Amino acid sequence: VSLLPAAESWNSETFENRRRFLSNCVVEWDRLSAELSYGREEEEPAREISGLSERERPQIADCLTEAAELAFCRNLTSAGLANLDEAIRVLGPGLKDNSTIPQLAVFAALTRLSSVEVSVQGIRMLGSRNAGIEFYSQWLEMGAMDHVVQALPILVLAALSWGEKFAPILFSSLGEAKGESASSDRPQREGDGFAVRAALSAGLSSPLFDVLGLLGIDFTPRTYLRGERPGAAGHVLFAMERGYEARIELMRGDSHWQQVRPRAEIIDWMLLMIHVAILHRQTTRFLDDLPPAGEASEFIRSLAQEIVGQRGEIVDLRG
Amino acid sequence: MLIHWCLKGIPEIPGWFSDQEAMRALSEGIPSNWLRYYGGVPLAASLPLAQRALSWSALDNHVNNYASVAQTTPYISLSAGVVVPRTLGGVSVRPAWRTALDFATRGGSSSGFVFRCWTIVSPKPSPSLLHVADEVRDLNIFRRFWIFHVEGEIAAKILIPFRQIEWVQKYNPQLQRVSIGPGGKLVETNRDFEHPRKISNLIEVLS
Repeated sequence: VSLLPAAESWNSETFENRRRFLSNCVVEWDRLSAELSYGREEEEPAREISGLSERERPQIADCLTEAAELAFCRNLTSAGLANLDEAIRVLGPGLKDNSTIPQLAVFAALTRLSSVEVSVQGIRMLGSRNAGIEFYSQWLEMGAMDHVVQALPILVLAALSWGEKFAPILFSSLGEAKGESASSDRPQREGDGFAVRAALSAGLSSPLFDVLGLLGIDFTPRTYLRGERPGAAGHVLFAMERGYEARIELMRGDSHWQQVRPRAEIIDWMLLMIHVAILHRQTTRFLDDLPPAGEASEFIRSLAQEIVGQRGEIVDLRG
Repeated sequence: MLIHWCLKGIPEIPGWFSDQEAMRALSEGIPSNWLRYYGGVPLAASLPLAQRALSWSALDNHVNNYASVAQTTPYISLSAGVVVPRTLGGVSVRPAWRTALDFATRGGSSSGFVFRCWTIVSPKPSPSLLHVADEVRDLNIFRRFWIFHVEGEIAAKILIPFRQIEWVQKYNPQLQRVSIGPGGKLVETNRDFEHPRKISNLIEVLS
């Protein structure tokens, strides 16, 4: 059972109404947006998939993400995962806004709707379960290389959650980023290649990579080893869990909490991603000496177990 | 000064705000709770009182501690939408209509009304100036108003004049649009509405 204790005080009717409100916004988005734009003078952008514009798709995905968060808080894991499935379907096809790629990768890793592969060339997602999305994006397509630096730790964690067999491939590929010659079957201009390698190197030095010890990985930007000691990863996890506890405490203290209208994300998606990856990589032994930092962190750990229990199997998408 | 379009969501509460009050707003304006509370005070006496009710602390309480001033706040919350950073990267855009509909239907719990109106805002704080709204969603200016930033609020004062309200629509808890009053219209437009282009700084040639 995964239940956020701070959410136990929510009135059930208010909670159901809130979930229904978000669902109605999603289903009726096109109509509501048009009706409540009555009188606007500027021309609306061209409509695309399912009648939705590129501008609206992330907004709908945000509604679905909020609905998923509420469901997860009240032990409605299946419903929450279904919301994330839908968010992927809304965001994914014909993706143009590359800033949503990390969000997509995390949701894909949680739902197992698409695999996530990261290499020195870029990021690839492959659909599974006869669903999900498929796309490939080179790093250069993410715009300024700072986006790559910021996104890399999130993408790598999402990719690692697909299990041990993919990890060496991932790191040998990323290891090229540190080398002088970035071998690539997709030749890039020398200047661009240098920029990508520099961005990946910078991304690999993120403190978030310290948490990899909990995934059984002893990683430095040049080497990949099977690790048997989590090292400093425990401290990183504790700091993240403490931060999450503080966030929930802050939010439950304001008037909107009881209206089931949290003013920020209730789920720490990175923390959840880490615990899901730990479960998929079967390194929970490293948590034996790391009790949750509080009841909210305990909830995230339980939620990770629920999610892996429901969407656990690894689907080999490489034939 | 800028002219800003906004939406205003008001829940339907029998005996407090229903179809009749929604229609009346198109001819009388949308009052603040301060104006409702002191409605019995003669205009000549209430005008100076209303101006004195406006202050930094009153705005702070309105935005950050609404429950403590709900009965008498001189400010009126409007929705203009907002952009907020997403923890996984990129930004989220919260459209104004979603926030207005949320407040109007109390999160899908009741029927409610959404008004479209315009107001004048300044790129500088003006919490005590009667005729200028404060764009509290702008954290560059209003740094104390981060708690409910996601609501994308613009705070108007004392009264939204009826000539600045373009229309009102009513929604039920299932977010279906329903007619207001006996006329059966889904969009009640305001025949006394004055378009803001009349006071914009775009000037046509003489002809």
